[in-house]
Amino acid sequence: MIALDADYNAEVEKLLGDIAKNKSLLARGYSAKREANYTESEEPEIQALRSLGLVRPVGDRQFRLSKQLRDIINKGVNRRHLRDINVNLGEYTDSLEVAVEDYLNAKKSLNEDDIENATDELISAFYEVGDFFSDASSEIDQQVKLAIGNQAYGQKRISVIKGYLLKLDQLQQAHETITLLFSDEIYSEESLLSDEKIKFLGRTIKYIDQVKSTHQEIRTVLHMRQVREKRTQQLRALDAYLMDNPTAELNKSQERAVESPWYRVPEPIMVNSFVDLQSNDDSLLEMYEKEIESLSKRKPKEKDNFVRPSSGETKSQILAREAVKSNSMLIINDTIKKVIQDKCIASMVKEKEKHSAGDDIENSYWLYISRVHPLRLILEPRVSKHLKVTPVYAPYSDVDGNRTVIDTLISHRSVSNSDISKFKDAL
Amino acid sequence: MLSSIASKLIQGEFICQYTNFAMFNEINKPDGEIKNKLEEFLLVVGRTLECSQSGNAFFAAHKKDAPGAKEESRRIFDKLRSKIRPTLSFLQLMAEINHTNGETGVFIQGGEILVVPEIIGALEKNQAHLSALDRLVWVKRKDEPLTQKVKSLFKELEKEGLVVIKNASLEHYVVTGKTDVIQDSMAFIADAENIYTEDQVEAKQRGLDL
Repeated sequence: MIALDADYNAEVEKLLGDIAKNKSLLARGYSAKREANYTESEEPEIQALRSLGLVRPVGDRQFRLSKQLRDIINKGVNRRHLRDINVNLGEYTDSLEVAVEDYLNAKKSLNEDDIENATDELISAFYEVGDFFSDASSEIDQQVKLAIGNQAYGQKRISVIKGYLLKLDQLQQAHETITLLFSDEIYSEESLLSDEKIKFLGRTIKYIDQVKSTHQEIRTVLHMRQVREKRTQQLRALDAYLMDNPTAELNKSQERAVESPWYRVPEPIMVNSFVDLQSNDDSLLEMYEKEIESLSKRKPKEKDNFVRPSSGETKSQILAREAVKSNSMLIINDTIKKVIQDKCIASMVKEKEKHSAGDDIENSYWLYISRVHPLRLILEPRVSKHLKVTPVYAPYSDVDGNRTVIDTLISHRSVSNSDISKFKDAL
Repeated sequence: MLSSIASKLIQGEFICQYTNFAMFNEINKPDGEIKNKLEEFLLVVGRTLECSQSGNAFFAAHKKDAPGAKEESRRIFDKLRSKIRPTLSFLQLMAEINHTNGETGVFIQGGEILVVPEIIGALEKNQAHLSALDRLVWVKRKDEPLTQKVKSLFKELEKEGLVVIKNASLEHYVVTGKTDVIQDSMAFIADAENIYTEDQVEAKQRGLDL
């Protein structure tokens, strides 16, 4: 037996060697859509390959690859055609039935060698049927995944996809056929057949599941395509209508616009975030990181060209630096002093208008700083026991989605809420 | 993540499966926790979380029953009315190009990749496509060379949020989920105005359901 295997090994190696020697000729044959040409000097190689059944000469100095070789190469380079996927179970069931018959006859003959050979053949036949399902289902699944993408499908591709659907149907039918064949009592009564049947069904169940899932995938794609086609037709009809009626008022749509979410998309509210250093909320860390990262990428609008003034001789003329308070801080501090002193209430907008330094401050900035700075100050208990900060909002409705601050009132703690309200109304 | 998503929604951005996968997935989680929190947040400013019909983009919209929402939506409709034909013209042109490239002319949808060099190639071969391109409102300088025109068109479409650059060196753009939302809104108009396709008219004449 070992000697026989060694003979086969040598034979197979020689065959593969012959194929390797003629690889460029075979590749030429594969690349040619129809017939490939060969030169006079290549005649002996062609004849040798012909004797192996790998090529067939056609016409004058032309050849084609045999179907079997083309199938093997197609599989190797993952370029299988739909028609190459075999879903015809017939030949496998025939060979299985022959193997079963041979096995039963061998058992009757009681010849151990015959029984052993027939058992080997039988197990092989079961494996071949299993491989048939595994090959076909994996192949179709792979091809379908390649054919289905998130693209618009043309009729050509759709017909290919429908072709796969047909193959899957045939494969499912083939499985039903073989399951029916196994319902024959011999597959339950005879222990080896029963074991092999159970193993076979166990092996193929996952392939049949794959077939079902690929089937579902194709059905979904075809359905989605149908939906898209309908949508396209509908929008084309709308385009044609608007072309014919360019001044159409579309009153019905306008009246019902609230039903479509697109016509309820509000004006964006631009959000500017700032880092709250006093917060211990870890969930904000990610946002802070991003904010800091973006800050480092921002270029300053103007370069701060600091020129150091001459300080003269060392120690003889020491440069005196004096902190200059901004106008806005000046007004805020003056107002706060006044409110605390007079125990009264003040509108920050009015205070800015009255103050001599107010003209230089931009209104939007004043609305921001005149609220934010006093709010920071009242974080200190010694300030908060004297002051109260109340924002004044512009009228708003629910659909605005935002509230606009138009003024800030700074009042002494002793001023009652009703007085603040009256003051607000009088503004 | 929640605060970043909320901030994007409130700023009118679309969270799309193809352009912002991480955030989209976060909203789309089966437990619905983030979705519920976003709803709570948006509710404070009278808004709600909406999704395109194909389910590939989230965005914030006024609540249907919010006071003033009806008037506001009418105003928005009026404002966007002038964009319907240009958008349809662009969709038609892309469908025609796909058609000449061997595919059927269905309108593009979220997730599709548009390859600028391929589009230029298809336009070059067809005078009718070239004229259609010039008629698009986003093509501002009609005297520019074709390549420049198409590049500018895609820059404009990117500003509108209809496409997003996917690969700058190969000039691959991905169609956003916002495009699907706009198509949903146009299909809504066709329905509201009883504009039927030929098939629908035929079906109606045969007495079948539309």
